[in-house]
Amino acid sequence: MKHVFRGRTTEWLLTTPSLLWLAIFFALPAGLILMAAFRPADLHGGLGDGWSLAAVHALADPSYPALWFRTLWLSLVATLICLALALPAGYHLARLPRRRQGVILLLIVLPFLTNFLIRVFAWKTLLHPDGPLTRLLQNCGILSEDTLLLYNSGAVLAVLVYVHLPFALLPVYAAAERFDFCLLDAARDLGAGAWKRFWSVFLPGVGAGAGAGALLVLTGCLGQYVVPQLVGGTDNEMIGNRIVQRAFSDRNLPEAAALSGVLLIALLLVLMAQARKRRHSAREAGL
Amino acid sequence: MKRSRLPATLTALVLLFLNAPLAVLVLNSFNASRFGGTWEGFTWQWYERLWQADEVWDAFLLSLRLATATTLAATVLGTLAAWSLHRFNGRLQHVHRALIVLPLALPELLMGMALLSLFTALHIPTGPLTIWAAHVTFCISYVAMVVLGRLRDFDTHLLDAARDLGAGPWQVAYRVLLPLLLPGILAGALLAFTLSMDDFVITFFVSGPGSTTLPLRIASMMKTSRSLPVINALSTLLLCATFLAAALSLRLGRRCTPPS
Amino acid sequence: MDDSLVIDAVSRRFGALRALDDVSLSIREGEIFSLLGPSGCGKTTLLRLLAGFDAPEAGRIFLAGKDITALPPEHRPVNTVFQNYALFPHLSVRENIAFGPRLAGWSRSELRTAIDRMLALVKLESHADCKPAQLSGGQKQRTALARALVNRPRVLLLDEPLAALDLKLRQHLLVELASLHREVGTTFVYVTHDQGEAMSLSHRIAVMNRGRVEQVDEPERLYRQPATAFVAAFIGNTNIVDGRAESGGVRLADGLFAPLPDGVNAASGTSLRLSVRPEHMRLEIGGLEDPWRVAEVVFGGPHTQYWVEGRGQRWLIQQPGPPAFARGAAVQLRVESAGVSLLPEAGS
Repeated sequence: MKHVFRGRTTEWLLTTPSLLWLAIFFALPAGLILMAAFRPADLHGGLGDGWSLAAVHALADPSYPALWFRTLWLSLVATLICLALALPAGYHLARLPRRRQGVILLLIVLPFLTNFLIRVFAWKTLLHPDGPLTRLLQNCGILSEDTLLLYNSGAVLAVLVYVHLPFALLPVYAAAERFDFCLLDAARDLGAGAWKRFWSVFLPGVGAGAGAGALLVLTGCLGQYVVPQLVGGTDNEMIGNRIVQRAFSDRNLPEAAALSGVLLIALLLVLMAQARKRRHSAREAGL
Repeated sequence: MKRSRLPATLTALVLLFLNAPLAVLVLNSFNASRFGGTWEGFTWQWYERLWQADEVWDAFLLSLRLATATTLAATVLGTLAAWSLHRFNGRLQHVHRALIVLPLALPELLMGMALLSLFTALHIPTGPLTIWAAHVTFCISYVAMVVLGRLRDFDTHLLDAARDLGAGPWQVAYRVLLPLLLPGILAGALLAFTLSMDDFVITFFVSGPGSTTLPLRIASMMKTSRSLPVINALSTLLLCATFLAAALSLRLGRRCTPPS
Repeated sequence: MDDSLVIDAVSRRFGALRALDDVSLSIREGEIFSLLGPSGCGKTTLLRLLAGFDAPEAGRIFLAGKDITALPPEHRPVNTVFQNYALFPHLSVRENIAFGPRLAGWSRSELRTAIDRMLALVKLESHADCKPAQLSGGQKQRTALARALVNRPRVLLLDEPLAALDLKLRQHLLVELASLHREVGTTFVYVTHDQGEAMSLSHRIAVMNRGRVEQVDEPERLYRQPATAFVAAFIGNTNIVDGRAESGGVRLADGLFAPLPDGVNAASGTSLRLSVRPEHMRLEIGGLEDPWRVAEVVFGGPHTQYWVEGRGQRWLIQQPGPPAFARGAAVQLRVESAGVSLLPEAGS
């Protein structure tokens, strides 16, 4: 009992509950995805006995490459838009007086904490053919009578950005808040213009936050299926839609697992690369 | 030379972009028009319809129960996790940290698929219990992150000081650590509660017959155009609740920080 | 006076680093004893061992004859004033002070009188219900003192208690600390890297370097008779020079003669290393034939410091009054025996 907060036993005692829980309900299931991909399907939507390569072979389905490509570019474009909005907004926010920051932060966090379905639903109402935005644009003569705002990749992109923007905004803001704005004055003193200051002083300063935010947006978009399902048309499906369709409509869990497995491995590789890069730069900073 | 107006304008647009859709939603919950394209007069009728929708309230009660149970478990587990991540720094904590951070970094879809694979492989029937387990799993990470953020500002010398003044290990935890971490723990708990109430994607994968949570109910309501305005009314009520929770959480975060 | 706190051959390592290497000290009842040294010398490690936050690998610690080496901090009659005070931010000044007594189960009336006495002692009566965040640096420091002293410890440990304060306040609180000590009479163990603080406050000082104790002595003797070159250089300014003994003194490498103080003798011809204090050197006008030239002049208010160079030797010399020599002036040097002390390290 001498050093209750330091000993090896204490470490295990404190660590075990969460570690065990996450091992059982997170690490093990993630591994089971890969296992399920090599099992045959059974008729009730479960896993059959024995082993089968059917689900893995099904990955070669000719419709998939276009699907993967669409998922990737929608996610990348959404990520870029989120960053393009989050960087100037984070910069501006961090320079505001403290009290104003709190109010604005609430205006960012509130939509973020609002039920995800409701947020997508709000956009569906907004973009609906009989909805306010369509009416407004038609009255202004910008939109012709038969153009739909809904059910196209533009709608999917807009809602993807809407849903994920706080994921980019909050880390960038957190980094910008820790940023020493005197550096910008120093850069100006040395003759740097506004863009130069933003690109070569502010951006490297908040780079870690922006990177973390971008990664959160990217992974979130890659696994998205609700947004394309609700505001996209049949041509705007993403890989997530196919996974859900295989798991629930087609009752083919192994094929859903095979697709998820590919996504999982790809994301883990990206995350590992990011972690390695961060450790590398941390080591360099430590020198 | 004056400062560029571009960031300020963009920030304003971002805030508009984030909040306008929700404002329209709130407005439409009082709009007699079904699709809300035009204002056709003020009405309470959607709220009345919501009041009579028993299936919504059943789902709400189930969500409430699940969120409470989730919050209890996730707060305890997440706080312990944050403390051990903060206090120790070895190989074990590297693994621990990875397991805490990964659920935040991977899309919910994969977590749902993973848990579905687990419950299918083990022949566990899905229902309230599996939803609870799933919710606890992703809430641990959020609670741990919030508490960890608090701990970063925590002066560990306070623990030494307490022991120096005669407090035993448990008295230190009870008299110093807990009161100082409480705002962080409560903020984490509040976040866990909100997330559990709101989650759709993961819940969708691990729910079974007879375990329709509120978001699942909303999803099925969205399929029938008759109930769309009712969703507006429900959303408005949920927004109010979220606003209160967020304001409370912000207050908790501010307390105990010295006035600068 | 009895020895109150005895540290017997204590060692503590962190990996390959010997933070404490066979340290023995004995601290007397009621004295102010300072542990002085540069950062990383082991003084804070030693303090943590005394408080009980850490345990030594070897050696033992006795308090009033009782072995307390393995006693956890909450059971030691020792209290600490932490470097950044470690005041509980959620408790008021009064509640901070009451923290220890409450745990010890004092009665309500006992508690009240003791706390009021403490508040009066550190002059914080009007701030009793403030939270630490509302206090100034000096008030925090006094709260930390009261919180520790109210428990009537046998020994009070102070870990750089003035380091976070500015110079004027530091000087003021140093005087307050000394008068507080006269009032309570508790043994103080004072850790600092500031030789000025240690010299003006302490009855005795242990100078530490690289996990070892270099010298334990009263402040004045530490200054007059440093036992090692490290102590000589760490306490005040000095010139460390090598030479060879001859009758009555030492002939230094650059030809200068340094007389030895009374009672100090060395056999003729032995190599010696000396410490020569700058204020015990005299500067006189010299001629072009003299090798010494003034290289730098630094005006310091009541005195002036000169750097003088010649024959490969560089001297620091301190004279009272304003500058009397300009840069480049030819000078003669003289060494007074009072400023000379022999160091154990032999000259080359």
